Amino acid sequence: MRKKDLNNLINDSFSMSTPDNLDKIKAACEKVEQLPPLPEAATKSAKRRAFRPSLVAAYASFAFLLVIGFTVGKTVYDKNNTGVVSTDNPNGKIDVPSTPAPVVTNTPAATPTSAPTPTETPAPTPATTETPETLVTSFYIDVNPSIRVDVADDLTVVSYEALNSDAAAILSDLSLTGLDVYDALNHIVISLYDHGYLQDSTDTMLISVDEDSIVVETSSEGVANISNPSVTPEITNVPKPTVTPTEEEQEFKTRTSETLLGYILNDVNSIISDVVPECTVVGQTIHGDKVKEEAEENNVSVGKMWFIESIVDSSDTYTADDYENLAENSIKSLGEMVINFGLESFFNIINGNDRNNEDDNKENHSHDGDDFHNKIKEDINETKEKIKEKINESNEKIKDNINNATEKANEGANDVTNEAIDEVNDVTNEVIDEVNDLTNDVIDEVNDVTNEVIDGVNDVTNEVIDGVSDLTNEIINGINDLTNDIFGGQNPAPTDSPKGGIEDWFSGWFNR
Amino acid sequence: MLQSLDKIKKNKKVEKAILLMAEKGMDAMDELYSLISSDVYAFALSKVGNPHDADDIMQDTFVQIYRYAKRYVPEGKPLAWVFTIITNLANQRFRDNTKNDYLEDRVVEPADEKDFSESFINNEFLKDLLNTLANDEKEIIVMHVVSGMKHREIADFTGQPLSTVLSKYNRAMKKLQVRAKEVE
Repeated sequence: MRKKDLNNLINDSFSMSTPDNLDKIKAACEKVEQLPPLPEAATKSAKRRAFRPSLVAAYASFAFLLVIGFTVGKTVYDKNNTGVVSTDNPNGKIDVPSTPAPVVTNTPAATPTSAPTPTETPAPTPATTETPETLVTSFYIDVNPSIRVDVADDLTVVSYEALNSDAAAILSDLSLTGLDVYDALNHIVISLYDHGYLQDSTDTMLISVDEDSIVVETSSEGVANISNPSVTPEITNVPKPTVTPTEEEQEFKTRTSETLLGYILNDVNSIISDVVPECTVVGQTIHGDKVKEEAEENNVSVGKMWFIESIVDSSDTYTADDYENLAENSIKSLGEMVINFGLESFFNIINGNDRNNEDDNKENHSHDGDDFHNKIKEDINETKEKIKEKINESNEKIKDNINNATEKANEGANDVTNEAIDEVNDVTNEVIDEVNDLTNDVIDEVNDVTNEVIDGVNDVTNEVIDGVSDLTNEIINGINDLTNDIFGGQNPAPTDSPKGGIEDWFSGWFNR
Repeated sequence: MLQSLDKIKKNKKVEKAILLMAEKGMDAMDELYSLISSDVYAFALSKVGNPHDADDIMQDTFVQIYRYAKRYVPEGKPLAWVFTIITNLANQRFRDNTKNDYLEDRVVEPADEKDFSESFINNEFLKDLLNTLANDEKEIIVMHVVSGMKHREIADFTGQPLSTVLSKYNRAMKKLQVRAKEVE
């Protein structure tokens, strides 16, 4: 029975035997109350994690950024004092702005109300404010399929690539980005197994961590590739510092690679134990351009080329002339070669026998836990101490440099401020005059219009009053006339008057 | 157990359900139960060794999860938290059940090898598993195969070296493979 089937059987057995207690549980829960959360202080210790590789990487990255700061600071210092970039720079002179812009970009901007003074100068800081975010390292997996995986300092996969067609088939159904490296390796190992690799004890898996790949990604757009002078951090207008790996940096890279390799080997060993406990895993850290060129020449992966070179170095049988012949062998054959020639001691190798031997396993996994953590901490502290010495040497120079530059900036800022204030005053006065003129015009215009309106209204009012008076008089006269006609004296009404008409009518009626 | 994507996602789902339970109480119980009831029962069974006690512990575990949900600190290891509750409950139960000095000395080894042929377990293979494996082997198998915990996590949880966990796991799987072949 295959392990997969056995796992399914175990799962199904437990699953089928599990009683349905949901209703009982709900009923029981109704009788209890949820406890309130603990105060924050009480949960702090619980939140503490045993070991975070990211912390190590962050320490190391910070240390490296300090080195960059030192290099940059030194370059600027040289520029300010001699007008040319340090002769350490193989690029020779580099055109930079005449103002000390690079180091004063952190100075608070001058304002008309409060121009900065030298006493307000912020505490000297390294020339770059960029903070390290992630440390990315690449490693290669070679079985025959060859895969490159890039991991961040929290051991999650940032990217990955199939380096040959066999690997493309292995990765075709996988999505590894963002996964924990353990889970990613798990998927890869399972996929390799499903595609017919890693089937027996003679199969070999090669894990190669590339020291040169170590990259510190920063929070801004810049990428500080410590090992590659062609890629430098984007730090305002600072001349490109020429970064070549120092002794400390190289040591750091080696340690980081070995740390990662230790992690990966632990993970792979744990995973392989589940799948094919018998097969062999070889771990190595690689560096240098030579191996990459030779890998290209021989049309093999970099990891495999390094493995071949290691075999040649540790064996009396082969020489560099055999590279081409050896390159034709599969990883499996090369692994067998190492074991058959008794060269295991030259390699970081775990085979099936080791895996089945508990004591040996303990040794293999000795990187786990506090010992490992402490070792890394010591390494980091050591690196930091070495770098600190250099930082201390340069710190005073940087400090003076910043102060000088700040003073210059302040002087410049004060001049600019005064000019700006004069300019603003001139413009303000002009605007005020303009506004006053305009206001007076408007007032005059308004007065004119108002007077015209008042005159018009008066005219109309008088006309209306006159008209009304005339009309009133006419009405009064008319009423008076009528009143006199009806009631006035004893005067007989005219025959054609209404009164005469009525009298005539009555007379006519009664006389009939 | 080859760790599938489902297993990887499971941890996140369980953690989410516990946090939801802290926020909304019983509303999250159905979801959490569907996610981990098998894990809880299997681990309880591996701890106490009989289905009766495992059943009780399973219920008590969910009640405790409900009760302490607001105190759960999300660290991405919810199953380890749940298994700690089960371990405590199993030890407590064992202490309650043991009345004599002889048994009191064995608190750290709550379940001894028992014959399950007369138990309530109907599944023949499960009976074999429980009868064949040692207690710590059962626990490791359950944690790895049923719950999908990584060997490294199991080593952290049990306080054993990773290599020991790996060998116990391999030994247990070999035993089960032999039993499975015999049954076939």
